[in-house]
Amino acid sequence: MSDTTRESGLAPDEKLCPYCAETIKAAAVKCRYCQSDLTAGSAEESPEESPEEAPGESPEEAPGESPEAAEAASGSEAESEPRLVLPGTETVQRVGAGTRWTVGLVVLCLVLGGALWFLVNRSRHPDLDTAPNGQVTQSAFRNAAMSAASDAASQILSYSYQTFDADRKKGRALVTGEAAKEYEKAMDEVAAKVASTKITLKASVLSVGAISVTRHDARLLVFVDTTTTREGSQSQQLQQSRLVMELTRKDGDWTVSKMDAF
Amino acid sequence: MSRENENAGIAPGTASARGRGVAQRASVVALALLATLLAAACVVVLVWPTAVPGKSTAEKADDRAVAVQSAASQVMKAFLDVDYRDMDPRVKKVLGLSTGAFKNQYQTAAADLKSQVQAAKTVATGAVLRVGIGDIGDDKAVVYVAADSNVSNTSIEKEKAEGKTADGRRYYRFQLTLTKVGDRWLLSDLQGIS
Repeated sequence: MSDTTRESGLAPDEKLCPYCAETIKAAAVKCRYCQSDLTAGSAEESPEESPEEAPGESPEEAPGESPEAAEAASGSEAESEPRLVLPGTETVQRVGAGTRWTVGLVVLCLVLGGALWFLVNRSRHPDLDTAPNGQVTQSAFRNAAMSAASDAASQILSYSYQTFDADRKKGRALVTGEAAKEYEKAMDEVAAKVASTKITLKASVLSVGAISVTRHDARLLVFVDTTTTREGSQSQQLQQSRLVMELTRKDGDWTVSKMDAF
Repeated sequence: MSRENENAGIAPGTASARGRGVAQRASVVALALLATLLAAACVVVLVWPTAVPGKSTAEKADDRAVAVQSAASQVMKAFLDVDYRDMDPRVKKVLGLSTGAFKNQYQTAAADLKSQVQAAKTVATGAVLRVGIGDIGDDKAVVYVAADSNVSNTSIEKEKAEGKTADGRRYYRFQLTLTKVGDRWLLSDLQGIS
Protein backbone atom coordinates (compact mmCIF):
# COMPACT_ATOMS: atom_id res chain seq x y z
CA MET A 1 0.00 0.00 0.00
CA SER A 2 1.30 3.40 -0.92
CA ASP A 3 1.65 6.22 1.62
CA THR A 4 -1.08 8.14 -0.04
CA THR A 5 -3.51 5.28 0.09
CA ARG A 6 -2.54 4.56 3.71
CA GLU A 7 -3.17 8.16 4.71
CA SER A 8 -6.50 8.34 2.96
CA GLY A 9 -7.56 5.10 4.71
CA LEU A 10 -8.45 3.28 1.49
CA ALA A 11 -7.77 -0.36 0.82
CA PRO A 12 -6.21 -1.25 -2.52
CA ASP A 13 -9.59 -2.39 -3.84
CA GLU A 14 -11.40 0.72 -2.64
CA LYS A 15 -11.94 4.22 -3.92
CA LEU A 16 -13.90 7.30 -2.99
CA CYS A 17 -17.10 8.16 -4.73
CA PRO A 18 -16.42 11.43 -6.55
CA TYR A 19 -19.96 12.60 -5.78
CA CYS A 20 -20.59 11.73 -2.12
CA ALA A 21 -17.00 10.96 -1.01
CA GLU A 22 -17.99 7.67 0.53
CA THR A 23 -15.68 4.67 0.31
CA ILE A 24 -16.76 2.23 -2.32
CA LYS A 25 -15.20 -0.69 -4.21
CA ALA A 26 -12.71 0.28 -6.88
CA ALA A 27 -14.58 -1.78 -9.45
CA ALA A 28 -17.93 -0.17 -8.65
CA VAL A 29 -19.76 1.45 -11.58
CA LYS A 30 -22.48 2.88 -9.37
CA CYS A 31 -22.20 4.34 -5.89
CA ARG A 32 -24.04 2.32 -3.36
CA TYR A 33 -24.58 5.39 -1.18
CA CYS A 34 -25.69 8.11 -3.57
CA GLN A 35 -26.54 5.92 -6.54
CA SER A 36 -24.41 8.04 -8.85
CA ASP A 37 -23.33 6.55 -12.16
CA LEU A 38 -19.58 5.92 -12.17
CA THR A 39 -19.25 4.61 -15.70
CA ALA A 40 -16.71 5.93 -18.24
CA GLY A 41 -19.00 8.66 -19.57
CA SER A 42 -19.37 10.25 -16.20
CA ALA A 43 -15.73 9.61 -15.30
CA GLU A 44 -14.66 11.95 -18.11
CA GLU A 45 -16.43 14.70 -16.26
CA SER A 46 -14.93 13.52 -13.01
CA PRO A 47 -14.57 16.27 -10.48
CA GLU A 48 -11.31 14.58 -9.39
CA GLU A 49 -9.63 16.10 -12.43
CA SER A 50 -8.04 19.19 -10.99
CA PRO A 51 -9.25 22.32 -12.70
CA GLU A 52 -6.05 24.07 -11.50
CA GLU A 53 -3.73 21.62 -13.19
CA ALA A 54 -2.88 22.49 -16.75
CA PRO A 55 -2.67 19.54 -19.16
CA GLY A 56 1.00 20.21 -19.75
CA GLU A 57 1.81 19.76 -16.07
CA SER A 58 0.94 16.09 -16.22
CA PRO A 59 2.72 14.70 -19.22
CA GLU A 60 2.26 11.09 -18.22
CA GLU A 61 -1.46 11.54 -17.91
CA ALA A 62 -3.58 11.52 -21.03
CA PRO A 63 -6.08 14.38 -21.27
CA GLY A 64 -9.40 13.41 -19.80
CA GLU A 65 -8.00 10.34 -18.12
CA SER A 66 -8.88 10.10 -14.45
CA PRO A 67 -6.11 9.59 -11.88
CA GLU A 68 -7.58 6.23 -10.97
CA ALA A 69 -7.52 5.16 -14.59
CA ALA A 70 -3.93 6.29 -14.97
CA GLU A 71 -2.99 4.48 -11.78
CA ALA A 72 -4.66 1.32 -12.99
CA ALA A 73 -2.94 1.60 -16.34
CA SER A 74 0.51 1.94 -14.81
CA GLY A 75 1.00 0.25 -11.48
CA SER A 76 4.72 0.90 -11.24
CA GLU A 77 4.32 4.54 -12.13
CA ALA A 78 1.72 4.91 -9.42
CA GLU A 79 4.18 3.38 -6.97
CA SER A 80 6.91 5.85 -7.77
CA GLU A 81 4.66 8.86 -8.03
CA PRO A 82 1.60 8.41 -5.85
CA ARG A 83 -1.26 10.85 -6.10
CA LEU A 84 -3.43 11.96 -3.26
CA VAL A 85 -7.04 12.56 -4.13
CA LEU A 86 -8.66 15.16 -1.93
CA PRO A 87 -12.38 14.72 -1.98
CA GLY A 88 -14.29 17.93 -1.72
CA THR A 89 -11.31 20.09 -2.76
CA GLU A 90 -11.03 18.56 -6.23
CA THR A 91 -7.23 18.92 -6.09
CA VAL A 92 -4.60 16.46 -7.15
CA GLN A 93 -1.37 16.84 -5.16
CA ARG A 94 1.79 15.77 -6.91
CA VAL A 95 3.72 14.66 -3.83
CA GLY A 96 6.53 12.86 -5.72
CA ALA A 97 7.15 15.79 -8.07
CA GLY A 98 7.39 18.17 -5.12
CA THR A 99 9.95 15.97 -3.41
CA ARG A 100 12.01 15.76 -6.58
CA TRP A 101 11.97 19.56 -6.88
CA THR A 102 13.09 19.90 -3.27
CA VAL A 103 15.95 17.43 -3.64
CA GLY A 104 16.99 18.97 -6.95
CA LEU A 105 17.05 22.46 -5.53
CA VAL A 106 18.99 21.35 -2.45
CA VAL A 107 21.62 19.78 -4.73
CA LEU A 108 21.68 22.93 -6.89
CA CYS A 109 22.12 25.13 -3.81
CA LEU A 110 24.99 22.96 -2.61
CA VAL A 111 26.70 23.12 -6.00
CA LEU A 112 26.23 26.89 -6.25
CA GLY A 113 27.41 27.34 -2.66
CA GLY A 114 30.57 25.38 -3.46
CA ALA A 115 31.14 27.41 -6.62
CA LEU A 116 30.69 30.66 -4.68
CA TRP A 117 33.15 29.52 -2.01
CA PHE A 118 35.69 28.63 -4.73
CA LEU A 119 35.28 31.97 -6.51
CA VAL A 120 35.54 34.00 -3.29
CA ASN A 121 38.61 32.02 -2.22
CA ARG A 122 40.20 32.50 -5.65
CA SER A 123 39.57 36.24 -5.58
CA ARG A 124 41.35 36.44 -2.21
CA HIS A 125 44.24 34.19 -3.17
CA PRO A 126 44.80 34.62 -6.90
CA ASP A 127 47.52 32.62 -8.63
CA LEU A 128 49.91 35.53 -8.96
CA ASP A 129 49.05 37.55 -5.82
CA THR A 130 47.77 40.46 -7.84
CA ALA A 131 46.15 43.42 -6.08
CA PRO A 132 43.07 45.05 -7.65
CA ASN A 133 45.28 47.88 -8.95
CA GLY A 134 47.34 45.34 -10.91
CA GLN A 135 50.36 45.30 -8.63
CA VAL A 136 51.91 41.86 -8.30
CA THR A 137 53.03 41.31 -4.73
CA GLN A 138 54.47 37.82 -5.11
CA SER A 139 58.12 38.01 -4.01
CA ALA A 140 59.44 35.53 -6.59
CA PHE A 141 57.83 37.46 -9.44
CA ARG A 142 59.14 40.83 -8.22
CA ASN A 143 62.60 39.40 -7.61
CA ALA A 144 62.68 38.03 -11.16
CA ALA A 145 61.94 41.51 -12.53
CA MET A 146 64.59 43.09 -10.30
CA SER A 147 67.14 40.44 -11.24
CA ALA A 148 66.42 40.99 -14.94
CA ALA A 149 66.86 44.74 -14.51
CA SER A 150 70.17 44.25 -12.72
CA ASP A 151 71.52 41.91 -15.41
CA ALA A 152 70.31 44.13 -18.22
CA ALA A 153 71.76 47.33 -16.73
CA SER A 154 75.20 45.84 -16.16
CA GLN A 155 75.18 44.27 -19.65
CA ILE A 156 73.95 47.34 -21.51
CA LEU A 157 76.27 49.77 -19.73
CA SER A 158 79.37 47.59 -20.02
CA TYR A 159 81.43 47.47 -23.20
CA SER A 160 85.02 47.49 -24.30
CA TYR A 161 86.80 48.72 -27.40
CA GLN A 162 88.15 45.16 -27.76
CA THR A 163 84.77 43.42 -27.79
CA PHE A 164 82.51 46.27 -28.81
CA ASP A 165 80.51 44.49 -31.52
CA ALA A 166 79.85 41.45 -29.34
CA ASP A 167 78.94 43.64 -26.36
CA ARG A 168 76.58 45.66 -28.55
CA LYS A 169 74.92 42.50 -29.84
CA LYS A 170 74.35 41.26 -26.30
CA GLY A 171 72.91 44.62 -25.24
CA ARG A 172 70.63 44.76 -28.30
CA ALA A 173 69.05 41.45 -27.28
CA LEU A 174 67.99 42.94 -23.93
CA VAL A 175 66.14 46.00 -25.19
CA THR A 176 62.87 46.45 -27.01
CA GLY A 177 60.65 49.19 -28.39
CA GLU A 178 61.74 52.77 -27.77
CA ALA A 179 64.73 51.62 -25.72
CA ALA A 180 66.04 49.62 -28.69
CA LYS A 181 66.07 52.72 -30.91
CA GLU A 182 67.76 54.81 -28.23
CA TYR A 183 70.29 52.07 -27.58
CA GLU A 184 71.26 51.85 -31.25
CA LYS A 185 71.54 55.62 -31.49
CA ALA A 186 73.72 55.84 -28.36
CA MET A 187 75.95 52.98 -29.46
CA ASP A 188 76.39 54.54 -32.92
CA GLU A 189 77.60 57.69 -31.20
CA VAL A 190 80.09 55.97 -28.89
CA ALA A 191 81.37 53.40 -31.39
CA ALA A 192 84.04 55.64 -32.95
CA LYS A 193 84.97 57.20 -29.63
CA VAL A 194 85.43 53.82 -27.93
CA ALA A 195 87.77 52.64 -30.69
CA SER A 196 89.85 55.80 -30.78
CA THR A 197 90.21 56.23 -27.02
CA LYS A 198 90.47 52.52 -26.32
CA ILE A 199 88.25 52.65 -23.30
CA THR A 200 86.48 49.94 -21.36
CA LEU A 201 83.33 50.60 -19.35
CA LYS A 202 82.38 48.24 -16.55
CA ALA A 203 79.01 48.76 -14.89
CA SER A 204 78.21 47.38 -11.43
CA VAL A 205 74.65 47.38 -10.19
CA LEU A 206 74.63 48.21 -6.48
CA SER A 207 70.96 47.94 -5.75
CA VAL A 208 67.57 47.56 -7.36
CA GLY A 209 64.25 48.58 -5.89
CA ALA A 210 60.79 47.98 -7.31
CA ILE A 211 58.72 51.10 -7.90
CA SER A 212 55.88 49.24 -9.59
CA VAL A 213 55.47 45.65 -10.78
CA THR A 214 52.47 44.39 -12.73
CA ARG A 215 52.02 41.20 -14.75
CA HIS A 216 53.43 42.71 -17.91
CA ASP A 217 55.39 45.82 -16.86
CA ALA A 218 57.84 46.80 -14.17
CA ARG A 219 59.42 50.12 -13.14
CA LEU A 220 62.59 49.80 -11.16
CA LEU A 221 64.99 52.13 -9.42
CA VAL A 222 68.55 51.03 -10.14
CA PHE A 223 71.75 52.39 -8.62
CA VAL A 224 74.76 51.77 -10.86
CA ASP A 225 78.45 52.59 -10.62
CA THR A 226 80.32 52.65 -13.91
CA THR A 227 84.12 52.66 -14.07
CA THR A 228 85.83 53.80 -17.24
CA THR A 229 89.39 52.60 -17.87
CA ARG A 230 91.57 53.82 -20.69
CA GLU A 231 94.07 51.43 -22.28
CA GLY A 232 97.52 51.98 -20.79
CA SER A 233 96.22 54.23 -18.00
CA GLN A 234 96.18 53.26 -14.34
CA SER A 235 93.50 55.75 -13.40
CA GLN A 236 89.80 55.01 -13.49
CA GLN A 237 86.86 57.29 -13.80
CA LEU A 238 83.84 56.49 -11.62
CA GLN A 239 80.34 57.52 -12.51
CA GLN A 240 77.53 57.05 -10.00
CA SER A 241 74.15 56.76 -11.66
CA ARG A 242 70.53 56.56 -10.71
CA LEU A 243 68.35 54.90 -13.31
CA VAL A 244 64.69 54.25 -13.73
CA MET A 245 64.29 51.18 -15.88
CA GLU A 246 61.02 50.09 -17.39
CA LEU A 247 60.78 46.43 -18.29
CA THR A 248 58.20 44.61 -20.36
CA ARG A 249 57.41 40.94 -19.86
CA LYS A 250 56.80 38.75 -22.88
CA ASP A 251 56.73 34.96 -22.94
CA GLY A 252 58.04 34.94 -19.39
CA ASP A 253 61.11 37.05 -20.18
CA TRP A 254 61.71 40.63 -19.12
CA THR A 255 63.20 43.05 -21.62
CA VAL A 256 64.10 46.72 -21.19
CA SER A 257 61.61 49.07 -22.82
CA LYS A 258 62.92 52.32 -21.33
CA MET A 259 65.97 53.41 -19.37
CA ASP A 260 66.41 56.92 -18.00
CA ALA A 261 69.22 58.34 -15.91
CA PHE A 262 68.23 61.22 -13.65
CA MET B 1 -13.24 7.42 8.35
CA SER B 2 -14.39 9.04 11.62
CA ARG B 3 -17.94 10.16 12.18
CA GLU B 4 -16.85 13.82 12.54
CA ASN B 5 -14.95 13.75 9.27
CA GLU B 6 -17.79 11.99 7.62
CA ASN B 7 -20.16 14.73 8.71
CA ALA B 8 -17.79 17.45 7.63
CA GLY B 9 -17.16 15.79 4.29
CA ILE B 10 -13.42 15.64 4.94
CA ALA B 11 -11.52 12.50 4.13
CA PRO B 12 -9.04 11.24 6.76
CA GLY B 13 -5.52 12.60 6.14
CA THR B 14 -6.79 15.39 3.89
CA ALA B 15 -5.84 18.23 6.24
CA SER B 16 -2.37 16.83 6.99
CA ALA B 17 -1.72 16.17 3.31
CA ARG B 18 -2.79 19.68 2.42
CA GLY B 19 -0.52 21.09 5.15
CA ARG B 20 2.36 19.02 3.93
CA GLY B 21 1.78 20.19 0.38
CA VAL B 22 1.81 23.83 1.46
CA ALA B 23 5.02 23.30 3.46
CA GLN B 24 6.63 21.56 0.51
CA ARG B 25 5.71 24.35 -1.86
CA ALA B 26 7.10 26.89 0.60
CA SER B 27 10.36 24.98 0.90
CA VAL B 28 10.65 24.71 -2.91
CA VAL B 29 10.09 28.46 -3.27
CA ALA B 30 12.65 29.18 -0.52
CA LEU B 31 15.23 26.87 -2.10
CA ALA B 32 14.62 28.34 -5.54
CA LEU B 33 15.15 31.82 -4.07
CA LEU B 34 18.36 30.69 -2.35
CA ALA B 35 19.64 29.09 -5.57
CA THR B 36 18.92 32.30 -7.47
CA LEU B 37 20.78 34.38 -4.89
CA LEU B 38 23.76 32.00 -4.94
CA ALA B 39 23.88 32.03 -8.74
CA ALA B 40 23.73 35.85 -8.76
CA ALA B 41 26.53 36.02 -6.15
CA CYS B 42 28.67 33.66 -8.28
CA VAL B 43 28.20 35.88 -11.34
CA VAL B 44 29.04 39.03 -9.35
CA VAL B 45 32.22 37.52 -7.88
CA LEU B 46 33.24 36.11 -11.27
CA VAL B 47 32.74 39.38 -13.15
CA TRP B 48 33.74 41.72 -10.34
CA PRO B 49 36.19 40.00 -7.94
CA THR B 50 36.73 43.18 -5.94
CA ALA B 51 33.12 42.93 -4.79
CA VAL B 52 34.23 40.30 -2.29
CA PRO B 53 34.19 42.00 1.09
CA GLY B 54 37.49 42.18 2.92
CA LYS B 55 40.97 42.56 1.48
CA SER B 56 42.85 39.88 -0.39
CA THR B 57 46.39 38.85 0.55
CA ALA B 58 47.71 40.75 -2.47
CA GLU B 59 45.70 43.84 -1.61
CA LYS B 60 47.07 43.82 1.94
CA ALA B 61 50.62 43.35 0.60
CA ASP B 62 50.12 46.25 -1.80
CA ASP B 63 48.77 48.44 1.00
CA ARG B 64 51.88 47.55 3.00
CA ALA B 65 54.16 48.48 0.09
CA VAL B 66 52.38 51.81 -0.36
CA ALA B 67 52.69 52.50 3.39
CA VAL B 68 56.42 51.68 3.29
CA GLN B 69 57.04 53.92 0.26
CA SER B 70 55.12 56.75 1.88
CA ALA B 71 56.97 56.40 5.20
CA ALA B 72 60.36 56.28 3.43
CA SER B 73 59.52 59.36 1.43
CA GLN B 74 58.31 61.25 4.50
CA VAL B 75 61.31 60.48 6.70
CA MET B 76 63.78 61.14 3.88
CA LYS B 77 62.27 64.54 3.23
CA ALA B 78 62.40 65.35 6.94
CA PHE B 79 66.03 64.20 7.10
CA LEU B 80 67.06 66.46 4.22
CA ASP B 81 65.21 69.46 5.58
CA VAL B 82 67.77 71.70 7.27
CA ASP B 83 67.54 75.27 8.48
CA TYR B 84 70.14 76.60 10.91
CA ARG B 85 67.65 79.20 12.23
CA ASP B 86 65.16 76.60 13.46
CA MET B 87 66.64 73.12 13.82
CA ASP B 88 64.86 71.84 16.93
CA PRO B 89 61.47 71.05 15.34
CA ARG B 90 63.27 69.48 12.37
CA VAL B 91 65.34 67.22 14.60
CA LYS B 92 62.22 66.36 16.59
CA LYS B 93 60.36 65.44 13.40
CA VAL B 94 63.12 63.07 12.25
CA LEU B 95 63.23 61.43 15.69
CA GLY B 96 59.46 61.02 15.59
CA LEU B 97 59.74 59.13 12.29
CA SER B 98 62.59 56.86 13.37
CA THR B 99 63.29 54.00 15.75
CA GLY B 100 66.02 51.65 16.94
CA ALA B 101 69.66 52.15 16.00
CA PHE B 102 69.08 55.11 13.70
CA LYS B 103 67.05 56.97 16.29
CA ASN B 104 69.77 56.46 18.89
CA GLN B 105 72.51 57.61 16.49
CA TYR B 106 70.56 60.63 15.35
CA GLN B 107 69.68 61.58 18.90
CA THR B 108 73.35 61.35 19.90
CA ALA B 109 74.50 63.35 16.88
CA ALA B 110 71.71 65.93 17.03
CA ALA B 111 73.66 68.42 19.17
CA ASP B 112 76.71 68.29 16.84
CA LEU B 113 74.50 68.54 13.77
CA LYS B 114 72.76 71.57 15.19
CA SER B 115 76.02 73.39 15.97
CA GLN B 116 77.50 72.54 12.52
CA VAL B 117 74.51 73.80 10.53
CA GLN B 118 74.41 76.93 12.67
CA ALA B 119 78.12 77.56 12.12
CA ALA B 120 77.81 77.07 8.36
CA LYS B 121 74.42 78.77 8.20
CA THR B 122 73.10 75.82 6.26
CA VAL B 123 69.69 75.79 4.68
CA ALA B 124 68.71 72.74 2.62
CA THR B 125 65.50 71.49 1.13
CA GLY B 126 65.23 67.91 -0.04
CA ALA B 127 63.10 66.32 -2.73
CA VAL B 128 62.44 62.62 -2.94
CA LEU B 129 62.45 61.61 -6.60
CA ARG B 130 62.00 57.83 -6.56
CA VAL B 131 61.40 55.16 -3.96
CA GLY B 132 61.96 51.50 -4.82
CA ILE B 133 61.35 48.57 -2.54
CA GLY B 134 64.21 46.08 -2.41
CA ASP B 135 62.72 43.70 0.11
CA ILE B 136 59.61 43.76 2.23
CA GLY B 137 58.31 41.60 5.04
CA ASP B 138 55.62 41.82 7.68
CA ASP B 139 57.62 44.13 9.93
CA LYS B 140 60.82 45.05 8.06
CA ALA B 141 61.54 46.56 4.67
CA VAL B 142 64.62 47.61 2.74
CA VAL B 143 63.94 50.60 0.52
CA TYR B 144 66.10 52.53 -1.97
CA VAL B 145 65.57 56.24 -2.34
CA ALA B 146 66.84 58.65 -4.95
CA ALA B 147 66.70 62.18 -3.58
CA ASP B 148 68.03 65.62 -4.48
CA SER B 149 68.74 68.54 -2.23
CA ASN B 150 69.37 72.23 -2.74
CA VAL B 151 71.96 73.35 -0.23
CA SER B 152 72.94 76.84 0.74
CA ASN B 153 75.70 77.62 3.26
CA THR B 154 78.47 80.14 3.90
CA SER B 155 80.95 78.23 1.77
CA ILE B 156 78.70 78.12 -1.29
CA GLU B 157 77.66 81.74 -0.85
CA LYS B 158 81.33 82.76 -0.59
CA GLU B 159 82.18 80.95 -3.84
CA LYS B 160 79.25 82.60 -5.55
CA ALA B 161 80.38 85.98 -4.27
CA GLU B 162 83.84 85.30 -5.71
CA GLY B 163 82.29 84.56 -9.07
CA LYS B 164 83.07 80.87 -8.94
CA THR B 165 80.67 78.23 -10.12
CA ALA B 166 79.12 76.97 -6.93
CA ASP B 167 76.57 74.26 -7.29
CA GLY B 168 74.46 73.75 -4.21
CA ARG B 169 72.63 70.85 -5.76
CA ARG B 170 73.23 67.43 -4.18
CA TYR B 171 72.28 64.04 -5.61
CA TYR B 172 71.72 61.23 -3.14
CA ARG B 173 71.32 57.49 -3.24
CA PHE B 174 70.11 56.04 0.03
CA GLN B 175 69.31 52.64 1.42
CA LEU B 176 66.73 52.78 4.19
CA THR B 177 65.67 50.02 6.54
CA LEU B 178 62.20 50.55 7.90
CA THR B 179 60.77 48.69 10.87
CA LYS B 180 57.11 48.42 11.70
CA VAL B 181 56.31 49.67 15.17
CA GLY B 182 52.61 49.32 15.98
CA ASP B 183 50.92 50.39 12.77
CA ARG B 184 53.71 52.77 11.68
CA TRP B 185 56.77 52.17 9.51
CA LEU B 186 59.76 53.93 11.06
CA LEU B 187 63.32 54.45 9.90
CA SER B 188 65.68 52.09 11.75
CA ASP B 189 68.77 52.36 9.53
CA LEU B 190 70.05 54.77 6.89
CA GLN B 191 73.02 54.22 4.57
CA GLY B 192 74.25 56.38 1.78
CA ILE B 193 75.15 54.35 -1.34
CA SER B 194 78.32 55.69 -2.86
